[in-house]
Amino acid sequence: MATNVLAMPRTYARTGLWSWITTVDHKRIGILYLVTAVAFFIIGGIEALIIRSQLAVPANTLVSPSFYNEIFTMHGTTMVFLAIMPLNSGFGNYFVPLMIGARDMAFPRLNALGYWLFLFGGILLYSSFFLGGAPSAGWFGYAPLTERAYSPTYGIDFWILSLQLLGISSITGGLNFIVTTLNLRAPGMTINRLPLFVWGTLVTSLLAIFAIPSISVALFLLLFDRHFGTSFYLPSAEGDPLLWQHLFWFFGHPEVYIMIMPPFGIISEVLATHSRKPIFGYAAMAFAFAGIAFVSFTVWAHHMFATGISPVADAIFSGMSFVVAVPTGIKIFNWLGTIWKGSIRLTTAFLFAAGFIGQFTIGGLGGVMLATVPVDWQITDTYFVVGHFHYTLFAGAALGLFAGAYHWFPKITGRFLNERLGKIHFWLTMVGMTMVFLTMHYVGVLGMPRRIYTYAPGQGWDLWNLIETIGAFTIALGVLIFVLNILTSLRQKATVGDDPWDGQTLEWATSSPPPVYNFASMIPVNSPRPLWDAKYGPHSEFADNPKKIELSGGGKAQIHLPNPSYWPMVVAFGMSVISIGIIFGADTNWLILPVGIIIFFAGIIGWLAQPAS
Amino acid sequence: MRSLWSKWGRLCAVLITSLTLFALAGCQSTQNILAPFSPAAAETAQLFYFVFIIAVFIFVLVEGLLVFFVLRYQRRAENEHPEQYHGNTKLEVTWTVIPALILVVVFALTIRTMGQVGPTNPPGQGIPIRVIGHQWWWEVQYNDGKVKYATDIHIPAGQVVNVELTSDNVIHSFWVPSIMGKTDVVPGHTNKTWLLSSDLGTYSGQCAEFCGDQHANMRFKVIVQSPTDYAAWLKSVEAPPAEPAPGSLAAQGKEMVLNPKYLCIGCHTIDGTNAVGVTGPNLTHVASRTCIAGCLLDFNHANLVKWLSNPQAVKPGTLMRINPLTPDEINAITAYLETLK
Repeated sequence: MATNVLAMPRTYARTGLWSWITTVDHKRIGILYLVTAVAFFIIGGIEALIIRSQLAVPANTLVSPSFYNEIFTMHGTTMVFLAIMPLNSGFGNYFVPLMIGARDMAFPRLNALGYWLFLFGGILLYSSFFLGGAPSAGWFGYAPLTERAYSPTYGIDFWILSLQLLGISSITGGLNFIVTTLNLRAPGMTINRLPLFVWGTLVTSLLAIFAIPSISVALFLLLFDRHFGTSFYLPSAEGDPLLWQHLFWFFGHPEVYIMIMPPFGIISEVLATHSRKPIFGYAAMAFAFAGIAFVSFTVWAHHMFATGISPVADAIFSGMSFVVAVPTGIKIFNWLGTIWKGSIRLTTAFLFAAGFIGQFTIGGLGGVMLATVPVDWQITDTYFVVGHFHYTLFAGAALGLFAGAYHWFPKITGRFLNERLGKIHFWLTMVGMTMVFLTMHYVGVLGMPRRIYTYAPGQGWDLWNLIETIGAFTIALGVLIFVLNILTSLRQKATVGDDPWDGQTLEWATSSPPPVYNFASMIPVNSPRPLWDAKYGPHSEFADNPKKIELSGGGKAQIHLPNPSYWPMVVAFGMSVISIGIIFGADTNWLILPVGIIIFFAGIIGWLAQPAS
Repeated sequence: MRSLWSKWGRLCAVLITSLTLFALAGCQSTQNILAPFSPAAAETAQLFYFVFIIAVFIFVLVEGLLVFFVLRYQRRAENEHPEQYHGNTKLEVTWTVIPALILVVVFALTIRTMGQVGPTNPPGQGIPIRVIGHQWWWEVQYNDGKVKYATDIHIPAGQVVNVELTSDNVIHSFWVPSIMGKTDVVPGHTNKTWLLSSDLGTYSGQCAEFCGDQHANMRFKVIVQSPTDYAAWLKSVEAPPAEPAPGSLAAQGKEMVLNPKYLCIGCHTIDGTNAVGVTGPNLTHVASRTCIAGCLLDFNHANLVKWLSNPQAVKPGTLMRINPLTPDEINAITAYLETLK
């Protein structure tokens, strides 16, 4: 559109609450995602501490069994859907456009909708505590325990509907990342030059849009069973509980990679930057992302080895699970290759990334043990599994996200996080997580099942459980220091320059924090690390005297930006009211539902009527 | 060459010693999967060790390289610029192919062991029993359902016991770590597994699939007996229990138990009486059991009193909901239950 050239910067508010409610700027939405997700991460962490306090000693009566079950259900659901996934979305929103040299995401208002659905979905889930009881059937929600006969409160309904909202949020986010990455790359930023974080986010988004519909369907069938008299999962009327497990894990296993792949990307960036080396085996790394993603759709029944599916199926899913280990191994060795003979600066970001390699390896090896079917028959549903997946999701995803936080905080805020506090945070995390999660493997081998609210003394588990609990509080202390670090850093002046880490990718080629339009002009892109090329030359890899090139300023007045809009929030709010209407509709009355529908359509109409820019 | 071997020998010795310690430390544990008391559990433990040792080697390799690189390649000067290695095809092919080959071996062993210990691959047809998962206790049926029992599973040493697993409520999972891995108990499906052990003793089992409030206290025992002891036990539970002496405390207790106002008969069956409820465990031979309340409590007088005084306090959420009983009533009922051998 020719008129765009003449478009002037908008004169809307750039500060204050209203500016955040109406924002469509990918960086602000990224910050909203990050801040909200950290809040949920802390809530999920407090739930973990409640779990660990209850299990600290045998035959403990700190909490009731039903409350314990609510808490472990909420811990799992929160960490997966309200902490790790949105933290990935937060970094993705902030950095994917910057790293590919774009001015925003492809669909800024859809992006805002994704955030508001996440926020309202989380609030909806937590409101269940005050509206009749939280869900208590585990984050995996196996039918028929989730059917009304066994879970009569509204908890499961809140869980179903909030996961639907979060699912829509993830699908819109996924589509947005895909379109942005495919269409808005700067000249020269070809697909095979994408920074690995962008590549990881792209692959994750593809996983999300194919995997999430499976759980959406599963949840709707469950909702129908609970409220409208169907019996998809009820064997008493020809339904089958295993249908739930297939649908859930067809989502649930790719979900593991949805959580872990963006952190894979983050640590790839961090390791390369802080050791001044390119990614070792870039192409193999990119293919490994794609390979893991593809194979992740063919391993779901390894969660079901004990369900009585046929031995042939067991064997096939076991074999495919071993196949996943190969690209995962490639990644680990390539990360080692990346820091090999590098010039390593031991920043907190680097420490967390290196810790990721060391600890995630344990998660991967535990995964191989679990894919060994007869061993799985013994250790599945024990604390071995709990230890294993925390080594992938805490040691993996969370350590990667911490690495990203220390690495990118200067870019987002213009301020460094305190390195001394960061290192304390790192070591507390390493010691704490080893105490909790390594010990869990062992106590699982000693036969302690998971999801039990108590255990009898004298089974050889007591000491280990106490150690785990102390470890959990050690991690919590680390997180507390991390939060204090953020708060104190924010009170300092923004003095960080454009490129504090001697970065390689485009986000370091603009100011910290970046202007609303990201880049006034673009440097040429000839490799996955255009800024490095610009500083040191693409072929002067042995240069002793690096020369930085000046990035030219641009004509801000001509940069075209989307309108701020509160309509995405209205639409998301309408969908939340619809959800509440459905939860209470069948039992009490259907009055809330039409209110929600009206808000929803009002939002849609307002959205359509408002010019995009 | 020789010194190399002795090096490896020493390494192996250290590894084996630590593994032994690892297993021994768990010996006090009643559900240690590495302290097997059956051929199936032993095979599985062996496979566990095999994969574990490979995992330990890879772990040591990765951590060793990681720590070495981090210590060795630290930045010494601000303007230091390392060589820009972009990759190495030979190296990359190596670390793709070697792990793949290792995994092929592990996969082959997986398939072989599945054939030996798979729940659907019993080493023969022996004694058929049924195990039924309830919220939150295990029912055991012998003689094609004619003997209904709970929480204790008696099996004869050295004989295959074919187990049919069903549930009419939620999903449970049947697991006796020392003897056999898990098989889920899925409503609408009839899953099968088997038990075979030659080691006399009592082995602890536990529900391994989350099944609601009292999942933690859904335990059971497998009692491996000599074939003669097993036959004697089976005979004792096939016969009706002795009638309490008229006028005794136990006889009073029996009257209470069978009186609908005490609610017992709504849920429990006692063969030969009007107690025919099916929600709770069959009590015909409850006094021959080693434990009650999903094996939360051992079977003894004090525990019966404790349980009857307030089941909801002992096992919050249990489906056993009764009206409060006086100490006299509890004494009488307990006396009767103790005669049900």
